[in-house]
Amino acid sequence: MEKSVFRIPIGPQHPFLKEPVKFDFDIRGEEIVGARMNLGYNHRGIEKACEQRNYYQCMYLLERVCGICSHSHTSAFVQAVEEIMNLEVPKRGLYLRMVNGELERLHSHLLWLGVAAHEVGFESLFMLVWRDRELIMDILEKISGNRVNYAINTIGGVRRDLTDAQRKEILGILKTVRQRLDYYAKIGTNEPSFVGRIKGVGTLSAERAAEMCAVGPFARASNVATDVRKDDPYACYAEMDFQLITHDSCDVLGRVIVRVLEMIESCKIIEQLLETLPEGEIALAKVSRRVPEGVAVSRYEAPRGEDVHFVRGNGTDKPERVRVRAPTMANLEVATESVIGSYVADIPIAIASIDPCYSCTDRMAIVLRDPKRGTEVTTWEQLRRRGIEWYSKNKGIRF
Amino acid sequence: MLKAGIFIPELLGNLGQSPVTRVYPFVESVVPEGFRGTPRLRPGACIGCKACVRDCTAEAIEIEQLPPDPNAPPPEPGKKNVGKKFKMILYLDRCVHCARCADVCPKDAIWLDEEFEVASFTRDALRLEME
Amino acid sequence: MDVVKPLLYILVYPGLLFQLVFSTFLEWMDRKFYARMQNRRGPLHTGYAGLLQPVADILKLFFKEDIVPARADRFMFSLMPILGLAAVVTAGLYLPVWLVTPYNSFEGDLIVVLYLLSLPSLVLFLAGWFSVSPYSLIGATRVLTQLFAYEVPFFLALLTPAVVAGSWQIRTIAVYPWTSGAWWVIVIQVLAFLVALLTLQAKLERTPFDIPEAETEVVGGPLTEYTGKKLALFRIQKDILMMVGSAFIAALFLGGFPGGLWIGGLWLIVKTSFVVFLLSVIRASFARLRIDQIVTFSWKYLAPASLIQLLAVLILKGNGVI
Repeated sequence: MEKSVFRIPIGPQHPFLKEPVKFDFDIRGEEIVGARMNLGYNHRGIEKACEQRNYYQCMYLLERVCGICSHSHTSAFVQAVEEIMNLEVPKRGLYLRMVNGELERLHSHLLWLGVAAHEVGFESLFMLVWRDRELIMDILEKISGNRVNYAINTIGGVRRDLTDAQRKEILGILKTVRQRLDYYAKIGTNEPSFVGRIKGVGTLSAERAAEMCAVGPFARASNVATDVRKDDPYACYAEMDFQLITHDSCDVLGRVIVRVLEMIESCKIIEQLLETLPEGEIALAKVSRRVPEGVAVSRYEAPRGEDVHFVRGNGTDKPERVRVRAPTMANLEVATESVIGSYVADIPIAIASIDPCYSCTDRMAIVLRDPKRGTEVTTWEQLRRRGIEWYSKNKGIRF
Repeated sequence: MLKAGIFIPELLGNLGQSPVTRVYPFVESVVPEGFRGTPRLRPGACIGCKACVRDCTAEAIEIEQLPPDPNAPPPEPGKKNVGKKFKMILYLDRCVHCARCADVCPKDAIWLDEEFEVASFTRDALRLEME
Repeated sequence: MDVVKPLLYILVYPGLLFQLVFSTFLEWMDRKFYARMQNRRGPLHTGYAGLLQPVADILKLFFKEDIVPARADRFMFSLMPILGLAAVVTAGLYLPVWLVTPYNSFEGDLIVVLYLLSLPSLVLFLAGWFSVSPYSLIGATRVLTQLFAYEVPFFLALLTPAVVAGSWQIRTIAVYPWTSGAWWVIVIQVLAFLVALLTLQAKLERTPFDIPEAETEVVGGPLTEYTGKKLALFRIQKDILMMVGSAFIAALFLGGFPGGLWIGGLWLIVKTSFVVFLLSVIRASFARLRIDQIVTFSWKYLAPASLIQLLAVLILKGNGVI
């Protein structure tokens, strides 16, 4: 390392990080010349735990992978299981699942907008955005019974129906939300101090984004048109009329614009869904508890990007393997790279612009025998010998 | 189009409005209908099939058979389980309030109340026994 | 009596005690305005409508563990909070309030006050420098960079009313609109008033100029390693700096606090609160600027604006209008 280059560690505990992760930034003055990221501070063992639980237990367990996109993870899992079992889910069930999913996207993007404002010190926008997010949270609590873990999915449909009064109420609240979203779109692109902080920060070219397989709003803001809802429509997204939002500014400003416009699209989708809500059952009446042998990969457009679940069934009521690829995994590395060249002050907003969710992404990594760091593996035999030597030398015990 | 101070009208407008924050612990908070609170057992409705134990995500439920009531009339011949009583032990500290137990119960013996202030100083207080 | 009187001035009025009480009141005011603009409630439970919350916050810090980092310079690290507090409290003695004594009013006291108000930033820089942690070092250098950006416009802006009144004595400048009968001089200095507000905000390190202690980047900036009593002293220093700064701006640009103890006291509270209200509007309506943006903004807009104002005032003065 050069003399003039100074390393600042950020994490595993730092005010800008909501979850543990470690970044090392090499800075020269205020400019960043190098960045490294180190995951591995969380181990929750959810994938392994799934192998010892039946499918219904797994569903509620996987809901807890992420606190914000909880519906995305269950939906992705349930879709995979339904594919293995070849289930035809009733249309009303799919519609309600989509309503919940889009409401979740709304509240997740609003949450992100607030966090982004907080990262650049725009506390008023943060507070007001979160105030309006409560409208969505209240709807979700009313229709599902909880603010965070909705538990509305079940294998073969959804668990709760929507009454007509609730349907009308949601449509009414959505009108207010759309007004507020238009206002935030105006603020986000016109307030000079805010735009000054996010314009040209954390740039990521379209080529690099495509090369590193970035997903979600992060990739769409770099003008990569990727959206599972359009590319590989699941549920009833093929019937919906909505736009795929992209932006070509490739920076944080683009990510703000993409997310705000996407929220307006989400409102449109929910309005369409609720106005054309088909009658009928919300879930299949009888679903076998045993899932036949087979594998399925399910893709779901979570608020943060493409969420992939892999499920292998083995004929019992427990999955043989569940693998979760949270969207942050795809974005984190290229986001760390995009910070290089910016100023120290841009680190929080550039990293936060992918809406990171480290605990969803993190899996345990064990490094045995790393010659670079000089770690060694002690075998059982060596340990035993060392113990015998220590006791015979210090305590005089003969074995 | 950048405009300095574009946010100020909204902020000054808020000065005239009453705050939206609820003074929660001092003012009671109401949850909507259908809120998933603590699982409860309807007295006498449990038949001891243990479907809830099998499906509980957090493994928080235990079902135990109560000792037979000496004063109860003798069971009719040919009918099983009649007269047998069960109790549910719920470890509320583990419960994730997913309501799967209520869904899976064949007799609708489990329902969820709307209690959400369930924190306690000891773990023992969160071990609920219901008959 | 010769000993007791100055001691009373220094410790009670307009010294330490008065400044403590008034500054915590202003902090409460600021927090309340800020919260209401964001549709929140602000402090609520300590005292009537949360009036004692700032005091409670400071008291809490006094009872916390006091840690000095092992590699820090122990003497300098402990000296800095006291030095900073002493500087701002001394500056507060020169407020043109009801008492007139040779201690707190003389020709040229404006210069003394400007000097004393520059000290807290230097103290903050040294505090960060001597606590030897990456975050405090970055914060400290940012404090200094920012100081060079806002100090010149701040001086130029505060010199404008002095030029108008033709005096270096704060008391004379404050009452000039009333004594000369030309109350409209308040109106023609509005540009300098705005520059002074913005630069005071920078001096106080509040949004949009809070980059030295941006918590999402450098944790607490220069104060990262400070805990307990020392941090509490810095808190008090910041409160008093806000009070002294806004009171000076009110005195120089808004016509001072004439009218003896009671009416003058009321003027003091009303005008200072008004300045604090403007400061909280600024705090609420902008995002945090980057250090390069602050420097550009100061030299590109603030400094020319204050120069234009000064020039306008000089021309008016030369033509004998004022």
